[in-house]
Amino acid sequence: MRRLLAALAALAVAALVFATPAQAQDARIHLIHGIPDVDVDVAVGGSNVFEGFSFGDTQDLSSFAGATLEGLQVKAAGTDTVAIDAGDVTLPASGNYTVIAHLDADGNPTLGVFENNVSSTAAGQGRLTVRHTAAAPAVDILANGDVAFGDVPNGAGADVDLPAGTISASVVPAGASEPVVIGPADLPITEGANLIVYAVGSLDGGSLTVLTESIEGLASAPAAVNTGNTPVQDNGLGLVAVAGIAAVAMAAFVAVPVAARARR
Amino acid sequence: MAIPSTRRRPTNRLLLAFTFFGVIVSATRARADVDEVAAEPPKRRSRKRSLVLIALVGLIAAACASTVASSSVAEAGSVTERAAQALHAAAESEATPDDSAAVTSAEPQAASSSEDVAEDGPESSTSPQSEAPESSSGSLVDNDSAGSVQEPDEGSASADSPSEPGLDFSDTGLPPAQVGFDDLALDHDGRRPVSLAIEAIDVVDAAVIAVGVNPDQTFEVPPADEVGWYRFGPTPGDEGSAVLAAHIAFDGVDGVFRHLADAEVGSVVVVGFDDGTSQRYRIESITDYVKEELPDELFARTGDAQLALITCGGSFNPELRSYDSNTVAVAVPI
Repeated sequence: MRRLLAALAALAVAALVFATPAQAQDARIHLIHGIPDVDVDVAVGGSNVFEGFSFGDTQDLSSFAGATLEGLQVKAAGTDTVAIDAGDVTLPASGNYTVIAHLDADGNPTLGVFENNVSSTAAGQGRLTVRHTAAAPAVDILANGDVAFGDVPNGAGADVDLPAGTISASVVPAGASEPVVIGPADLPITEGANLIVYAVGSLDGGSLTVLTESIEGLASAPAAVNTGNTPVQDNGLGLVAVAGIAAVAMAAFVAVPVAARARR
Repeated sequence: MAIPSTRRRPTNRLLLAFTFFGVIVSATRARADVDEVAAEPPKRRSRKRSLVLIALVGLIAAACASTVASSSVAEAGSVTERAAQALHAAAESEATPDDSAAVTSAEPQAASSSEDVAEDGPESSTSPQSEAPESSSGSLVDNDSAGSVQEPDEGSASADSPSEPGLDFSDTGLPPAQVGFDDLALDHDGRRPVSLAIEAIDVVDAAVIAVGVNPDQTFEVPPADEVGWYRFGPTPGDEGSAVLAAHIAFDGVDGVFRHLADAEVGSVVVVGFDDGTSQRYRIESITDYVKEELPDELFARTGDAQLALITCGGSFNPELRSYDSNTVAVAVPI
């Protein structure tokens, strides 16, 4: 047993060592365009890498995990007008991130980097992540009428694990019950998936809406399968045994006194 | 139910049998003694011994009888207890279906930064539903930090700074993120399994119902006469490992999978669906796993289509009223 443990420990150490070079493959980095009604070009080092990138468009930057995007700029499509000048952006080497171009609270374009919670969800549960990436003051996010996430400012987010099912979600200004600025909408909480909802657009501009992405494959197996609370019956064999014992006992009861009497 | 004695634990039954046999053997020997003694006169002595013997047998019989009585009473008690629990559970699960997703959490928490959200999380956001117990579930996890990336850097914008070599953006396009709520899939469509037949073990047309998990995240096993399909996993026939579980025995009644362990490699399994279609399988393996070591892969959402039939096996622990193992038959489509 001790040798087994030692072997396992050695394996674990080896796994750690070898995991490091492979980490780039574990990274998942998505870039989402989260500013309504604005088409953009994205440039790295002065050259456009995506052109005509429009609201909701998504790019997979996973293969650039750990790399530095030098001179990352977001420009109005077909122009040299720089909307976001992000400078050198070093992408995380591993992990699960979403980078979203969105409006800050004052309506200026910015880049938000969010790490996604991809820890396993318990059997029967799914995860809801909400992120405030809209030009609007802090908000409360309501689920089934109750405040699930309170006073969330622009650029912040949170997540919660819920039993799989459907919840009704809506967004109101922080501390107020109305006006409802987004929703109410039915959100599917899918078992083993993280539904990520971004509030995007501009409150003043009347363009508030949501973007969603979903990360699946987080499910866990049930804790146990308990499929019996009574011992199985032995197909009547037990019954026969009991009957047999009873018969023998009866015989003893009868025979002993009879024998005794006979000898009197 | 009719014959409580058959429901007693096998160990008790054995003990009882031994006791009786012991009594009978000693009685026989004693009688031989009696006979020897009886050959020579003192009849009173032998009679006395016989009487003592009879009394002894009677006493032991009485003791055994009372044990039997008390144990079946105890069992009856626990049966009602379990029935009450089952009713309670049923009531709860009935209450859950649609509002099951309610998040009540509570007091709005000040979240001036994402770190605050993280710290306040566990207390302020809890789900009251039975399906979401203590656990980590209510947590607002802290890795949700956000912020704009790095300061603007005027210099790097100049056209002469070359793009980093080796970065090829030509193949990075993904389907766009969903805009708005309208197209979010709210239900899982497609056929659902409704019946199960395994001729080899006399399962003729067992009802299959969709189940999830209990509040403690264990498999929500249906009553003894039904089979539970794990609705969070694949539908039988689809990619991944579809799971059907049923009792071996519950509350003294044989479950649908009472004889699963007696099935053989090659036995045919037929799953019927609500749309009238069916899928045939062939059992490839039958394996016993200690419960704690039941492979998670049996619940895999991806990979080759297979069907995992799960029940209990191994030895029964009377204190825990539970078996220590799972018997698993894995079948593949034919």
